[in-house]
Amino acid sequence: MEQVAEKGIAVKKAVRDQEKLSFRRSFEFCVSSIRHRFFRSAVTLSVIVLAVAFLMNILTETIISNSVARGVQREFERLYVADIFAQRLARNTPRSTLVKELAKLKPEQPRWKELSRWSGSAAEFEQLIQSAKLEIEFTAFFDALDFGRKRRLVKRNDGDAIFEYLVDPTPQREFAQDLKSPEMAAVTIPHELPALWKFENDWPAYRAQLAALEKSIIAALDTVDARLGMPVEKALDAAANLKDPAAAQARRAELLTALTSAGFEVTADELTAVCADRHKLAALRLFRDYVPDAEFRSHWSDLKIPGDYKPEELLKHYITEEKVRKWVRDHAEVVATRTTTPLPVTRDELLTFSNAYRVLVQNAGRSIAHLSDGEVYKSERQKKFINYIDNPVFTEKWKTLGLPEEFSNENLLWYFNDNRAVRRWLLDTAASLPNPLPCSEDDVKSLAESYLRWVQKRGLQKVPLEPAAAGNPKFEALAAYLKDPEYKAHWDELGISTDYSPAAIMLYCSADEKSPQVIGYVESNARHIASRVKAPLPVTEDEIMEVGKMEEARTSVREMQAQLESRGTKTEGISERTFWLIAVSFLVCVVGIANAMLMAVTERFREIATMKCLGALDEFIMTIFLIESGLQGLIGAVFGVILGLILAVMRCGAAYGFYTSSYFPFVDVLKNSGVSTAAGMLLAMLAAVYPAWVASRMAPMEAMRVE
Amino acid sequence: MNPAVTTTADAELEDDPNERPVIVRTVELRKTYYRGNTETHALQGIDYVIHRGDFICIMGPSGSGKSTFFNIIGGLDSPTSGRVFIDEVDVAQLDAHELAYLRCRKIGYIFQTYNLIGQMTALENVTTPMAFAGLDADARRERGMKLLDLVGLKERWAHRPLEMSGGQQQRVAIARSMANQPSLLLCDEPTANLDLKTGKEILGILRKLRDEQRVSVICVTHDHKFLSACDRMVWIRDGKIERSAMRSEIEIHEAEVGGLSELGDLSGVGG
Repeated sequence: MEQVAEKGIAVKKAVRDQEKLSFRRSFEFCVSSIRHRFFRSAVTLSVIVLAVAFLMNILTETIISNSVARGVQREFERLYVADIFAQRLARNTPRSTLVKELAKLKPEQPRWKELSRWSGSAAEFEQLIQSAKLEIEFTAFFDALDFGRKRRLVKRNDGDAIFEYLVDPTPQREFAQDLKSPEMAAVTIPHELPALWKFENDWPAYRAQLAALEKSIIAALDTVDARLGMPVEKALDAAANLKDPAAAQARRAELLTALTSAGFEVTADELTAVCADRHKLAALRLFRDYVPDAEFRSHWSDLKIPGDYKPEELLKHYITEEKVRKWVRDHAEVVATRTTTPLPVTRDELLTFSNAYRVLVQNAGRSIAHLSDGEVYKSERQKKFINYIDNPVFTEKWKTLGLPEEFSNENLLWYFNDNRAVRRWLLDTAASLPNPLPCSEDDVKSLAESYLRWVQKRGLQKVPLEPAAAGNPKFEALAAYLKDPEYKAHWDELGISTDYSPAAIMLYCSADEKSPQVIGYVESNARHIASRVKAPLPVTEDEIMEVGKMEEARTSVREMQAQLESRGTKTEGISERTFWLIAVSFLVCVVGIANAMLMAVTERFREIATMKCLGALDEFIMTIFLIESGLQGLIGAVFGVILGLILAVMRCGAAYGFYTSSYFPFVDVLKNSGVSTAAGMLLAMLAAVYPAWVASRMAPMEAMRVE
Repeated sequence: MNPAVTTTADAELEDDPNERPVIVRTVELRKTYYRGNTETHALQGIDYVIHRGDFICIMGPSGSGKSTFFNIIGGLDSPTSGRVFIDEVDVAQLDAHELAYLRCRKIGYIFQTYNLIGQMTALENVTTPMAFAGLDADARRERGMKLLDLVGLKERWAHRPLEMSGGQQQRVAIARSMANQPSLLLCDEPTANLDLKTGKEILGILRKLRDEQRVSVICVTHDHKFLSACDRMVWIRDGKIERSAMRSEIEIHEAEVGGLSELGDLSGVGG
C-alpha cells in the first residue's frame, strides 16, 4: 500500500508540467473556428459593427457640429460687423432706425461714443437716449392696441403722428377721458399717464435733438467724403477690391484716418474685417433687394415649392436645386428686359418711323418698278389679265374713280390691294364688257401683292435707311440698333422673301400682313440683346451660392444651438444631452456585444467539454475565446467606425452643406475613431471574459449536457 | 513518457485478471445530487476494481447511476464521498492542470455523439490531444496517420466530420481517444447512434485495441452486442452494483438475452 502511495506522488509530480499551447497555435485555432462558423461569426460581427457605428456616429456628429458651429459663427460675426458698420455709414437711414439704435445703446460702446460726440453735452445725450427708449416703449404700446381702441384714443394717427397729435392739451384731455371709460379698463400705459405727458412735453425738444444728431452724422460723413475725395461707400468698395495687399493696407489706413478724424469710432481690425466681407454682404443685400421683384413673386408657383414666396426661402432652395437656379436666371432675364428699355424707341415711335420710311420706299419704288420688267406676273392667267385690261374702256372709266394718277397697269394694281372702290370698279367694268375677266379676283389680288413686293424691293434699293433717318436722333439710333447680329440671325424665321437688312425690317414693320410678326421679332430680339449685353442678376451665381450656403449653415447651427440650450447645461464641446446620448449608445454597444459573445460561447459548450476531455487547460479555453472575441471586436470596430463616420459625414453634409468640409475637425475625428475602435475591441473581449470563464470552469460532462 | 506512469505498458496480459495491474479502483464511492430540497443518491457506496486489459460493460436501467459512475471513474465528475484511484492516483486530490494531464494521457473518451470538432479534418481531430500533450508537428502527423490507419480511415484523413458517415466519425473518435496511448478507454454508448453492422465494426475495433494495445475498455451501454465482446458485465441498480459477472458465466444464456430481456433472469443464473 505504501508503495502505491509513493507511486501516486510521483505521478502527481509528473503531471504538473501539462503542456500549454503556443499563442500562435491558439490563434490559428481561433481563425479556423471563425471561418468554420462564418455565418454565426458574421452575425456577431454585424452586431459589433452596428454598435460601434452607432457610437461613432453620435460622437462624430457632435464633433463636426460643434466645429461647424464655431466656424460659421466666427464667419457670421465678421459679416455682422460689416453689416453694422455699413449701417453706420449710411446717409439716408430712416429716423425710426436711429431711434431704435439709440434705445439699444450701452455706454462706452464705440457707437455710443461717436453719437455722444455729435449730440452736445453728456446730459443732453443721456436725455436723448432716455427719450428714445420711451418712444420705443410707447410705440410698442400703441402698436399693440386693437384697432377700435386705438382709433378712439388717438384717432387716425399712426407712428410718430400719434406723438405729434398728443402734444396739444386738447387731445391730451380727450385721451385721458377716453382712458377712464370702462372699455379701456384693460389698457395699461407703460410708466403711467404722467410719464406719457412728460414725454409729450419733451417731444418737440427731443425731435429737434434727433434732427440735430442726424445733421451731425451727415456732416461727419460729408467730412469723410471730402477728405477721401469720394463717397465713403465707394472708397470702401475700392479698398475691398484692391488685390495688392500693401495697396489695400495703405487704402485702409487712409480710410481709418478719415473716419476717426471725422469722429467715427473705428479700429483698424474692424475696417479690415469689413473690407474682407464687403462683397459677400453686397451679394446678400443685392439678392435680397432684387428678388422681391413681382416677376419672381408671380412665378413662384411654377417651382411647386410648398409655402408662399419669401426671399429667404428662395435663397434656401437656390443653393440646393439647379431647377431653382435656372428659374432665377430665366426670370432675371425677364426682369432685366423689362426694367431696361431694350429698344431705343417705343413701339409707337417704331411704327411712326416705319410708316414714314415705307412711304419713302414705295414712292421711290413706284417710280422705277414697271410691270413690263416681267418679274411680277408668273402665271398665264395673270398675263391674260394684263392683256385684258389693255382696253380703252378701262382708261375711260378710270377717271370716274377720281384718283390723282392716270390709268396704268401699275396704278391699277397699286390701288387694287387697299382700295375697295378700285376693286369694285374693276369687276363692274369687266362685267360691262362682252368678254369676262380671264381670271379670278384672287389672281388679281396676288398679282397686286407681287407687284407691291416688287415695288418695295426696287424702292429699298433706291432709298437706303440711314439717309432717310438722318436728322432724327431716335430714328438714327433705331437704324443703328437694327444692325445687331441678333436680327440677322433670326430674320429667316419670318419667312419674308426679301433679304435681311435694317431697311427691310423697317419696311415690313408696318402696313404689311406680316407686320405683327415683324414687330414681335423686333421686340423679342431686343430682349435677347438686352439680356446679352447686361448681366440680368446684379450678382454672380457664385456669390449668391456662397452667401446662401452661409445663411443655410447658420440656420442649421442656430437650430442646433437652440436645441442644445433648451436642454440645459451647455459645456464646452459636449452638451449634457449629447453626453447622455453617447452614454446610451455606449451602453447599447456593451449590451449588444455582450449578448453576441454570450451566445457565441454558450452554443459551443459541447465543443468546450470535448476539448477539456482531450486535455485542454482552462487557460487554453479562456485564451481562444479572448482571441476570438478580440479579433471579431477589432474587425467589427473598424467596419463600425467606417460606417459611423460615413453616416455622420453624410448627415452633417446634408445639414451644413459645404461647411462640413471647410470646418472638418480631422484631428478630433481621428482621435475619435481610435477611441471607438479600441472601445469596440475591448468591449468585445470584456464581454467574452465571463462566459468563457464559466465555460472553462465547467465540469466537462455538465457542459456537454447543456444543449 | 514518465516511466512511473507507464509501469504496466509492456506487462504481459495474464490469464488471471486479478494478477494484472490495477487501473481504476473505487472505494466507498457515493454521489448525492441536491436539487432544491430533494436529495438524489446516485451512487450509494461502490467498491470496484478494474484491471489493465479489462473489457467491461456497465449496464443498468436509466437512472440507475451508471452514468454517474462512468463520469467519476473518467475524472469528469467528482464523488461526494469515497475515493477514485486512476493508476493509483487519487483523482479527488488533483488540481485543474493535473486533471487535464490525466484526461489527456491516461484516458480516452468515446461519446455517443462522437463530439468531433467540426472545423477540423479527421487528422487534425486525432492530433489535437497530441498537441495538448506537447508533441511536435511531425510526430503528431505520423502518429495520427498511424491511428487513422488502425481504424481504417487513412484515405479520409483530410475529410471534415460533416463529410463522413456516423460510423466513420466514431472511428475517428476512437483514433482520437487513442492519441496519447491511454491506459483506459471510456465509451459512453458508443454504438447507440449506429446501425447493427457499423456497431459491430466499432465493437470489433474496440476489441482489437484491447487485444493489441492492452488498453482497458469500459463501456456504458444498452447494446446487447457487447455481451459477447466483453470480459465482464456489471449491472448497476439504485446506485449499487447489483451483480458483476464474467462473460463465461453468462454466455450459455446468450440466446435468452438476444432480445431486450429482464436482467433479473440473468442474475439468477449467474449466482
